[in-house]
Amino acid sequence: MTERGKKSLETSKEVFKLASQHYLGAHEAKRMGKPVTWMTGYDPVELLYAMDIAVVYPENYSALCAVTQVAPKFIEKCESLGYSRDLCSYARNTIGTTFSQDAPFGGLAPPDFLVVARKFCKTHIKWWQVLSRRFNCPLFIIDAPYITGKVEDYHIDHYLAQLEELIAFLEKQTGKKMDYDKLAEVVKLSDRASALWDEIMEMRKNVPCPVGAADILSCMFGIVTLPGTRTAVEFYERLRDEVKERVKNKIGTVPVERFRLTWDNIVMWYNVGLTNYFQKYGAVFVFEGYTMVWSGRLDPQKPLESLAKKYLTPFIELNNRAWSMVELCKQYKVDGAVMHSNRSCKFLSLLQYELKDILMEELGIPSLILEGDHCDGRAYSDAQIRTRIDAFMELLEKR
Amino acid sequence: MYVAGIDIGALTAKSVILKDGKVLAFTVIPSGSDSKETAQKVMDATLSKAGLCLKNVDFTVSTGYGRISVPFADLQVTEISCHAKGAYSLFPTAKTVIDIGGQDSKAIKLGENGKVVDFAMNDRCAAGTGRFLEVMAKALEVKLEDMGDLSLQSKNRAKISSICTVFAESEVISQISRGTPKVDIIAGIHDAIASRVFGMASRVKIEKDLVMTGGVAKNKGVIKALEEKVGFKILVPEEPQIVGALGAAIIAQEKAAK
Repeated sequence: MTERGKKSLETSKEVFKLASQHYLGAHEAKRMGKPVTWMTGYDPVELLYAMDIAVVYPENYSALCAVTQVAPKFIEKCESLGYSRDLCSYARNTIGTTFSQDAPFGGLAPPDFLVVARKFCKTHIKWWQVLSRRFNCPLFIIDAPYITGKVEDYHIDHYLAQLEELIAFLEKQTGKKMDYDKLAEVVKLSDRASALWDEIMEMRKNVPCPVGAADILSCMFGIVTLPGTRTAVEFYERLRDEVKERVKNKIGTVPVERFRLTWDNIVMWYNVGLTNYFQKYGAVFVFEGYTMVWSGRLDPQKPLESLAKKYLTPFIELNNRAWSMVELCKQYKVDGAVMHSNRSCKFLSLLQYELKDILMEELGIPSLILEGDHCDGRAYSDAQIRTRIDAFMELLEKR
Repeated sequence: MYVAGIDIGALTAKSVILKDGKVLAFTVIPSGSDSKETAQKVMDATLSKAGLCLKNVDFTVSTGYGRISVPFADLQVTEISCHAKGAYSLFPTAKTVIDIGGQDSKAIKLGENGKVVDFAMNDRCAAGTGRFLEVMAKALEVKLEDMGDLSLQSKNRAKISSICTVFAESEVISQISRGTPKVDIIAGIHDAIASRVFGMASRVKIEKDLVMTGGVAKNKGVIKALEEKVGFKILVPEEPQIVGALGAAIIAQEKAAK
C-alpha cells in the first residue's frame, strides 16, 4: 500500500496547480512559437528564464508521475524498449512517457534543444543523449566539476567560460541576444526565492516544528523548477507567512511533538504518505538533506559569477555532506535519522552506512536505513518497511 | 498472574504463556493463510496445555508480521524488540542477537540492560532465511530437520552461490547430477546462508555474546558455519523458535505489572 502525503498547510495545497500551470504552460509556449528546453534540477536555469525559454524538468516530472501513482506503466514501457531495470527510475519514467500517449499534462512539451550538466549524477549525460536522439535536437553539456574541499577561483573560471558558451548556444538557438538587464532581474528574483526558502527552513528549527516533510517536499517545487520567476517569490512569501504564523502560535504537525527526525536522500515519491506514518509516534521530520540544498544566494551585480558559485557549491561532496549533516542535526535538535537507500540514486546512498556511524559517534543519534527507490514503487514492500519503522520508533521510545 | 506472547511469523506461529514470569506452556504451529484464524488456533492450543481460558490471561502482546491481525492482543510490538527481550532474558550476557526466521533474518545489537541500540534486516530476498533451507531440502529430498546432522558429515564442502534462492536451487540440482555427495551440498548451503547473514549482521557490528534465535537456529550446520565466520561460540536457546513469543510474553508481564 502506498499513499500520497497528507499536508498540514494551506499554501502547500497550491502546489499541484503551480505544477500543472508550469507543465501545461510549456505546451502553450510551444504553440506560441517559444522554444522549449529540458533541464535537470540545480543547473543555471536563470540564464534560460532570462531569455524567455520555457524549461521543463524530467526529474521533477517523474516525481510528479510517481506521486500521482502513474509512473509504473511508463517505467514498464521504457523497460520493454530494452532499457535496463538498473537504470535510474526517473530516466526510465521520462523515456517511457515520450513513447506514451497518456502521460500527465500531455507529457513534457517536446524540446527544441536540450541542456544538461555533467555533475555528480552519472546518468544525466547518457539520459540526455538518448533524449537528444529521440527528439533529434541539439544538446549542450555543461561541465561542472566534482569539487572536494572549497570552490577555488579556477573552478569558477572553468564554469564561467562554459556559461559564456551556453549563452552563445542559447543565442544561436533562439536567434536572440541575451538581455543582461533582464538577467540581473531574474537573478534578483532567484536570490529572493532562495532567501525565502532559507528563512522557511530556518523556522523549522522551532519546537514544535511548524512544517513537516509532506508539506516541504511538495513546496520544493518552486525552488527546483522556478528560480528566477515572480511566481516562485510570491508563492514562498505566502508560505513564509503561513509558517511564521504557525511558529507564533506554536502549531506543530503533531499534537505533541515527541521525536524530531531527519530524512536522508530523495523520498519514495509514490509513498510520501510514509513520512506521515511517523506522526502516530509523535514524530516529525524537521529537515531533509534533500530539501535543504536547493537555495543559493546570488548577486544581481555579478550575475554570472554568482551563478557559477551557486551551482558549483559542493553540497553533495561526501565529507561535506557528512559534516554538514552533523551540524544540521545539532541545530535542528534531531533525535533520529531515517535514511532512504535509494536504488536509483546510489550516489546519494553510498555514504549512508558511514553517516550512520558518524551520527552515532558524534551525537549519539540512531539511524534507520530503508531500502527503496525514488520513483519505481514496484519493489516496495509495505509490511517490511513498516516493521522496520515500528522497531526504530520502539528503539527511540526506550532511549 | 498469567500473560501471553504470540508471534505470527511468515511460516510458523508461536505462542507462550507465562505464570508469574515462568513459562507455563508454549506451542508452535504452521501459519495458515488467515492470520486471525492462525492466531486463534495457536493461542487455543497453548491455553489448553496450560489448562486456562483466554479470560484468565491478564495481558497479551502480539508480534511478527501478523501482529496486527491478533484481535485479542492488548499491544503490538515488533519482532525486533521481542527477540531482543526474549534472548536477553535467557542470556543476560548477550550483546548481539541473530534471528533467522522463515522469511526474514535480522541482527539486533543490544546495549545496557538489553535495550535495542541498532538492528539490520534482510531486504526483499529469501536467501539467508528458513525458506531457503526449505527449498533446498526439497530439492535434495532430505528432511529439513536432518540437514544439520547431515552437513556435519561433510569432508569437502560444495560451493553454493548465496545470491538467490531460485538460482541456488538450480545450482544444487546441477551439483546432484554431477554426483556431488548430498552432505557436501548441504554443508555448502549452510555456508551460503551463514555468509549472507554474516554480511548483514556485520552492519550492526557483531559482539560477544552472540545469541541465535528463530527456527533456523535448530540447524547445527548453520550454527557451525556461522561460528566459523564470527570466530567464536554462538549461544543457542533450548527452544530458539519461541524466543520472539517469549519476549512478547515478557513485555506483556512488564505491562501487566504496571
